[in-house]
Amino acid sequence: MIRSSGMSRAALSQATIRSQLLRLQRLRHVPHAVRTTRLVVLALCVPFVALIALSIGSVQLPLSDVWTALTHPSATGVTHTIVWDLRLPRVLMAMGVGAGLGIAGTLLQALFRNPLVDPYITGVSAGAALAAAAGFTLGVAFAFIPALAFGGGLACAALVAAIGTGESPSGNLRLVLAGVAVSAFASALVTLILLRGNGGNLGILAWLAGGINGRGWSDLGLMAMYLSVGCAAALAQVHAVNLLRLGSAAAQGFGLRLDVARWRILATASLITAACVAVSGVVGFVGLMVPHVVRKLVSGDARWLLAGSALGGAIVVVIADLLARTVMAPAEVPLGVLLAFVGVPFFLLLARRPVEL
Amino acid sequence: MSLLRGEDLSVHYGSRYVFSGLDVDVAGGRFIALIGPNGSGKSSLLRILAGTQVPNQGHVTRNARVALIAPAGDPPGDLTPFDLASYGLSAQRHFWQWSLSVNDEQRVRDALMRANIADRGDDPLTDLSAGEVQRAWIAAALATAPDVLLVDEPTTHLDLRFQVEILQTLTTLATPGVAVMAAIHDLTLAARFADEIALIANGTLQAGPPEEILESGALSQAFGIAVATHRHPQHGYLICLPS
Repeated sequence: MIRSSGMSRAALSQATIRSQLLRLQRLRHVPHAVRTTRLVVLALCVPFVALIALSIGSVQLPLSDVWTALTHPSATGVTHTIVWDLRLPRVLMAMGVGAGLGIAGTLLQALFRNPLVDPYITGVSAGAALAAAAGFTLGVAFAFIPALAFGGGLACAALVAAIGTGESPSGNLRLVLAGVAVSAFASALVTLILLRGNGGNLGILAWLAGGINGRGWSDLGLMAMYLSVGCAAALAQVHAVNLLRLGSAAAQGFGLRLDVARWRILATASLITAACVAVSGVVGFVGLMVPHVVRKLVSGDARWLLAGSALGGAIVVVIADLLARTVMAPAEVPLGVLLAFVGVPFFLLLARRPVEL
Repeated sequence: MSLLRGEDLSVHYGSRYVFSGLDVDVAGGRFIALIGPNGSGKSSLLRILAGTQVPNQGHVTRNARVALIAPAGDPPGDLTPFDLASYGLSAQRHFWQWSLSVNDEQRVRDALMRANIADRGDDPLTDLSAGEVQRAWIAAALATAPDVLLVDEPTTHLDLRFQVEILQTLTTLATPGVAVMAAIHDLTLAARFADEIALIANGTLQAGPPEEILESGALSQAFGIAVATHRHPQHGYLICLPS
């Protein structure tokens, strides 16, 4: 897979990365008023980019027409159909996937105390994709695909955690390598599933590449259901995530039950990732990039970071999906491929100079 | 009354036995300095007493709330001492309590005051000296209102002034009903500030008043070099130096 070869190159410069990992970029304090303002600006950007995304496409719609269609849901006409039946579910789904991956990335970075991880790199996405692909092939009803993906994601993440956890700088690298290995294995199994389908699985292949084209309101409702449970669980982890920022030994010293907290966070991140993977396939790097950028904007405190990463993820994926369906129109670029163009350089930069969590 | 009691404690990592059959008793109102050579099991013992490590043998009875300060590195740079101290309370807060209650905020402010860092409570940790950051860690532990405060190497990497200041602070925290146990490398500072010394070496633990434990022969045997113990001619406290 494209990802595997790229990651292996990064892994080959092990000695370089290990020496660089010793020098973390420290986070800077963000005053309360500043981070509040920045979070409000992020929140305002979400409807703004959504409106832009609703207006741009194969048929260009003026923003005023989009607004009229949105405020008159019972109207009829071409504009109404384009907005309500084609673009709005897609934009809302992009927002949901982005928010989910942003939150899952934040949780996983906190859990593993590693700035280089996200659902993609820790194997959660690959495990979820494997289980979902198996489910699709076996004809499992779509409503149960996220549940299957949850099981697959959790299993892969637990395997990666078992192989690769550690607090030392080399532990960071070990975790990434474990994620690469487990993801590669899961991807190989997905390929096997696709091949056994005798070429009849092109739909699954397109889904695996990452994208949210062709999804409607029912898919959105299903994702929203799983995602809302995951987000509620994420909100319940804020204090544990904050304590983990101090290191596992310090967190335990202040009374955190480490094993319980770790499993809860891993399960929450897996559930959220599964909800996203089931509808959008494997969309990488959102969960890696967004928390790092948001952390600089609103600080690393979990209460602010989770909210900011959800908003930031929504903005990034709405814009990425807009580009995916317009840059090579009428053809679509898979969302996962588009994000890899930005995500891989970001990962490599981060590997050279990781930031504090 | 004993706040914390460990009985028949044994720890080994693989085939290496760190200690075995240790009995520890921590009573309130005392500042106990835990001394011993590197690898003797000071940190392991503190973790076992705090309940964050399970001993290979033996058990610990806790009749009190215990907090352990065992930082593995710098705290995140975006925090202030107030933030760090409020994180200390995190394990006791329900998930819906996103903001500190008035009572909790007062607890955090009190903890900062007792750790002698209240005047810099709202400054970024990146602007603070190592000694002040150590005080912020102590405040985080104090916010949990512990009856037993265990501190792993609070004076490491600090200059002499900060070492003395931190130890003075820890001494003031050992009030009736509250015990402080800190792993310390400097034997003279341990003798100067601690009410009791616990020497862990060669798999055994001896505890008692400084003048009883900081004896040349026992220290020489524990550290593997000749150590001489003298009394300060004016102040009378013990000075331990290699001879």
